[in-house]
Amino acid sequence: METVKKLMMVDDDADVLALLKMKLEKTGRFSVVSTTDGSKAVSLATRETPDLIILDIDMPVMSGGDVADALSTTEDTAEIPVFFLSSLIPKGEAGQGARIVGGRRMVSKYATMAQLIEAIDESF
Amino acid sequence: MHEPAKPMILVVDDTEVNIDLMVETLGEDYDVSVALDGEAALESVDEDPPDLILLDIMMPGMDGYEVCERLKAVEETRDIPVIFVTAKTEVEDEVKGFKLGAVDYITKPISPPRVLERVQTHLKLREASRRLEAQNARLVEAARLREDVDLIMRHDLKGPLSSIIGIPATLKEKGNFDREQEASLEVIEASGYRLLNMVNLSLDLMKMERGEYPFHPAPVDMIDLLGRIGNETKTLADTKQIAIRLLVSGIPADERSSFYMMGEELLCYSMFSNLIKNALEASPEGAAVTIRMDRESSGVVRIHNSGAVPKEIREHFFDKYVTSGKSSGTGLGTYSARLIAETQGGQIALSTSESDGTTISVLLPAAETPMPDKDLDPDVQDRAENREKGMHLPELDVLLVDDDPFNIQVLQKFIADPRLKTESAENGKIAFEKIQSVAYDIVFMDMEMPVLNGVEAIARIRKLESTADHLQKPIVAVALSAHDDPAIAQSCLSAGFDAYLKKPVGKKEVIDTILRFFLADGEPLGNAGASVIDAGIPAPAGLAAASPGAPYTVEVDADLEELIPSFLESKKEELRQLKIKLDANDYEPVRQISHKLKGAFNMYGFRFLSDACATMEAVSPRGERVKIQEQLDAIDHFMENMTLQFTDDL
Repeated sequence: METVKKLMMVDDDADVLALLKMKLEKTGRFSVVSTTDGSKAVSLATRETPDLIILDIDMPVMSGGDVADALSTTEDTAEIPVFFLSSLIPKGEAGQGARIVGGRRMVSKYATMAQLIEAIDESF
Repeated sequence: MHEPAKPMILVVDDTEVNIDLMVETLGEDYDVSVALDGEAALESVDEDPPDLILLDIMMPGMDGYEVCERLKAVEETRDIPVIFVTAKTEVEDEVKGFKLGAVDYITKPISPPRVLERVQTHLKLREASRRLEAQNARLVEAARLREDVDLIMRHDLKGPLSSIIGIPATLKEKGNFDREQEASLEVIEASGYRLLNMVNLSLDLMKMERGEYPFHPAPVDMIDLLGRIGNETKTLADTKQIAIRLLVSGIPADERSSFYMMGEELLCYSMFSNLIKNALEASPEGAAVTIRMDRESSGVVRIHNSGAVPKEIREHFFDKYVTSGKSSGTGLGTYSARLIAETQGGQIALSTSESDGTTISVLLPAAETPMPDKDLDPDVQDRAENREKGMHLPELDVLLVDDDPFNIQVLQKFIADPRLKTESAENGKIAFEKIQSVAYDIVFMDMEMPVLNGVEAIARIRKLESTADHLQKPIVAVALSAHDDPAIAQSCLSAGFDAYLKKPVGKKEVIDTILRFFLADGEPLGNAGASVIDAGIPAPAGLAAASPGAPYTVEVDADLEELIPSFLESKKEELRQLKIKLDANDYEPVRQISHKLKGAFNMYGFRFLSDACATMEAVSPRGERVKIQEQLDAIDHFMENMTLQFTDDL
């Protein structure tokens, strides 16, 4: 049996986190830890050592880009793969595969759950 | 520990010799990547944006100019400094390069020390400008925060002021006070009104500064206005033994004089009150302050005192925060006078000298003397008649809804009458629950409440009326709000309220409102004779095709059923926050909240709501209030009428 991968998600919308956690854990392949506060991302990642970190971009306090920078400059978290999940990619372009932003993948919040899981699998 | 990452330089050249030389020159201090042609360069920039680009101009295929042009056309890559490397030395080539946005030129043959020096310089420049940008962003953020806090504070002051102003009058009515106690109550009331005027004026000034003040000019009786100000400043004038003289076209004003200017009475009042107080303070003792009213190409009021304005502040007299001598001066008096004059389509000017003293001239459009029968407004007559009917107040069940218990107290005192049976609720949810079992005749409801605000509550109440048996006739609903924006009044009415009263409300207003809707037999009059804005707002945009009240079905993933209640609650709260920001004309948070809502609504399957939020997000940077309000109306309407269908097939 495949090992359960631990995902860490950062999004300022607790409802979005609740939905993603519910859907992703239901597959039985992932466990999800999360925070709505970008400035706590590094300490959470250090503690939880997730297999993948998924970041919202447009967040108050600390943007997803800044969180990614902080993660990559912290020794314990620098090697953890990261991608962005954002509604900055408009609806019409959601299915057109991942974009690269600042050297990292970006998946649209308009993508289907299947597309999201595909993007997650490609990140390991 | 990590070493600080080396700056990354991208070298673009089709000649390997050149590339080798560059890598050798820069490799020690920088992280160098290379691209052999234009396409490869763009790809590399896309994947991993460098800190600086050394770009050869002459390349097969896409040349350096085009690469540069494309980089500058895209937001993400626009700010990366580009240095052209070229054998060309003609001036016009250089000019072209700079026009395209290059920061520098290096000519071939390549000189390693020069390359190093230029690269260092431009990286430093770039770093400095980044720091400045960040600093600037922080400053903008801080300024916005301050404005927000200001606005919210002023707005929130109005609630408690209602009690300060309202309670003394009701206490006095009860009687049993000696004269001194009554005088104290009057002082409290008067101070409350003064505070309210200050709060209102500062809110208005803020709107004027932003050019958003809704100006409604009417003829203002200047003799009456300046006379009143004269009375109010009499104490100050008397202590300095200053005589105030009023002249109309050079002749001392008497009861037959008439002088009207176009403006708003309250604005004129605060402007002239400020200017006259200033004139009295600046005037030498025993001198005169002369106010001349003349009709020239427009109406002119000249306020003269024989003191002179100090030289050092003459030029900045009407600027913000300029004050002279008075340690207590805010420096806002003359500034607000200018703002008010200009908002009313007028001008203000200063002329001052040691020999002639100081004259402030205010120019406003002149107005004809209004016809005397204007005072017999039919609306006023109606109200007088209604007050007669007040003798025969019907028996009514009244519900008062406000989260501030003091406001409830004040309202209860206003309508203390055995024929009016009152109950209270502290938020929209509790009010709604009460209405489910009691058929109230009239509801007075605060708009800004936690849990369930006024607009949400009225939507539920109106929906309930269509199904509940105990509600035979529609409840008369009166919105109470601290906002004095007609757009907000309009949105309350379109949400289902019958009338809109601005806080703080007076006893007369409340009683008049009850009378307006009820004859002595307790039957609602409807809107007849109501001085309310017409509630005829069209169906919300985007829903025009749907019949009113028709349910909108949203298919929701059955897995999410448990999450939905808290999801909807939190989205409603975010929408409420958005409305507050919109009321404050603060469009950046409106955009941010719309953006967040757009994403969340979409993920939960509420496509219509997500699209409406996307529209709000798109138009908020341009401050298109009407469009945003349309979408909000549509969102409220949709959310009130939607039914959810949980399905496994999604």
